[in-house]
Amino acid sequence: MLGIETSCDETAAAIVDSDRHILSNVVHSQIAAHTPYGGVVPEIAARAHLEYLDAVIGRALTDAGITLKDIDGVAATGGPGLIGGVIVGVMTAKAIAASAGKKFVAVNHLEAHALTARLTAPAGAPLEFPYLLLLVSGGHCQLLDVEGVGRYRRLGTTIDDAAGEAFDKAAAMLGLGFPGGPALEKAATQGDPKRFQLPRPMLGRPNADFSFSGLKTALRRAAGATMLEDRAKADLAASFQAAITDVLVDRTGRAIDAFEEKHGSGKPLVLAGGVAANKSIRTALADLAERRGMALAVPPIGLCTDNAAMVAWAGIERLAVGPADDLDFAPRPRWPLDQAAAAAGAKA
Amino acid sequence: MRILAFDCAGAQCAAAILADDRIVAVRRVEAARGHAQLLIPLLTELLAAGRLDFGDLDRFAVTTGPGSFTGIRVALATAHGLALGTGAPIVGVTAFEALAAGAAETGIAAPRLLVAIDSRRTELFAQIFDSAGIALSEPAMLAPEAVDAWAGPGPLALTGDAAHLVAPYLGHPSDPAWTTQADPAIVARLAADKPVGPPPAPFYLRAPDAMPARIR
Repeated sequence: MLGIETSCDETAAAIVDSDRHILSNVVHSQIAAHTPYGGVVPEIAARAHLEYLDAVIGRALTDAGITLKDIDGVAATGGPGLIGGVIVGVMTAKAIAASAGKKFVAVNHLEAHALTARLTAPAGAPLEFPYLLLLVSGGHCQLLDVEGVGRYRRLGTTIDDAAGEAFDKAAAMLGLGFPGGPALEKAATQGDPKRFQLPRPMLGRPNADFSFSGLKTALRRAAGATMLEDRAKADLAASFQAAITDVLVDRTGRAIDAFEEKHGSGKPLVLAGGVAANKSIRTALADLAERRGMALAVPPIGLCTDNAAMVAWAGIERLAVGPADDLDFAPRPRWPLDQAAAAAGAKA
Repeated sequence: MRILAFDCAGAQCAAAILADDRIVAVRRVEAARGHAQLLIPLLTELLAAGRLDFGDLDRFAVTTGPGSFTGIRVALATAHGLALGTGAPIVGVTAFEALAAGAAETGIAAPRLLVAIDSRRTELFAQIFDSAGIALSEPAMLAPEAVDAWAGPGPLALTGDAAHLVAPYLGHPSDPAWTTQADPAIVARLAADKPVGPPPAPFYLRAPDAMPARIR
């Protein structure tokens, strides 16, 4: 399966087979093009996807040592995401499928993240359904009960910013640069997480939803209007990271309660999305999983951030349980996973 | 030579097949949006009407803009996928060239032709051609009221979907016969006469609006 991912600022293509081998995985990052603006600029991203996707696909085929003749299908992220980029990936995929006689699968980007841990599970220990997924990235922050391919129950979501977005904004406030996640984590290693008492929004609430905008406001207030010294920056970064970590752990704990009510205890917890790269968050979630008697699975970081291997794999999983998609598929800027579950249910 | 030409740069999704110097099939759907959904089924239907497969084609022709940024990318990304899938090359035709050639075919009632294309901003995209469809100016982006001074003295015929915006400033009566969209058959013919080079780049003619996104 050829996978194509163009929903944000990574132009990516990959070849994956149904025996869970990643034959190639090419990611062209556009970060440098967006850095001057402190965030991803949709029109710049869309232009770059069109400019680079061809070469990225060519490289993915070359790296895998195959040609288009050797693939059975093309899976592209069909949404949710920045629509200009999604269109480039979807049209390229549909045109390859139409002209080379391949199956086309429009993959939900969230579903691709949700199923990645099944692609990367160790050979002797496949990851079975159901499992609880915490998906945390620059665009998404959700807790999902993953019951099967196309069967997702959203247990919690953010009511304002995504966690990665909060990292980006916090890093910008502290003058740490873009993308904010890695920059803030680096600064935090030198800081005292207890120096600033930042709020933990939603902590203790009965549902599993997130909110980060109050935390962002508190950080802005704590940072003040003056130029910060490196010490204060590091302490603020550490305090901010600690607050986000506490919120993620608390909310995930609530989701575990809801998940166990339906599925019982001892099922896996999966962490995915770019924020999974944060060591403090990974460690805290590993502790939580241990306390709750769950095995924590985290795909390799290169497959937690946006990539096309996860899209190809989701395409394989989808084709194993249902039909290919039609070539009149319309790219979707918004595409909640529960709706994907509803659509899959309707098809079956 | 068999060419599949298509255009999504304006308010249409349109395609034509040129085979051995004859247009064998044409499809045009008016659509200001929804190109990403319409285009591939339209192309497969067109090929079926022409009793051809994608593999029978020698080149793909596509309008590269200017026009709708999204429409330009729908067409070019599709062309890229078709080229990958079949190995046939892509030839680009600008929307200016296509509209000028269309006007030249029906006859231009002035020594010079102004092709004016909607940019969805206050400025419009403009280029001047002679009555045979040969470019006399560089493409430009400018306000409708600035076109007169930019074009210089002498009568101008008008065409394109922004012709009505510039007409009042040139003392032209509004002419309902103005062609607003590229004819895919003409795109195919122009592409037949062009040499095959590197894959064509999108012709945006306007820099991106640079504001970071908020993704959800």
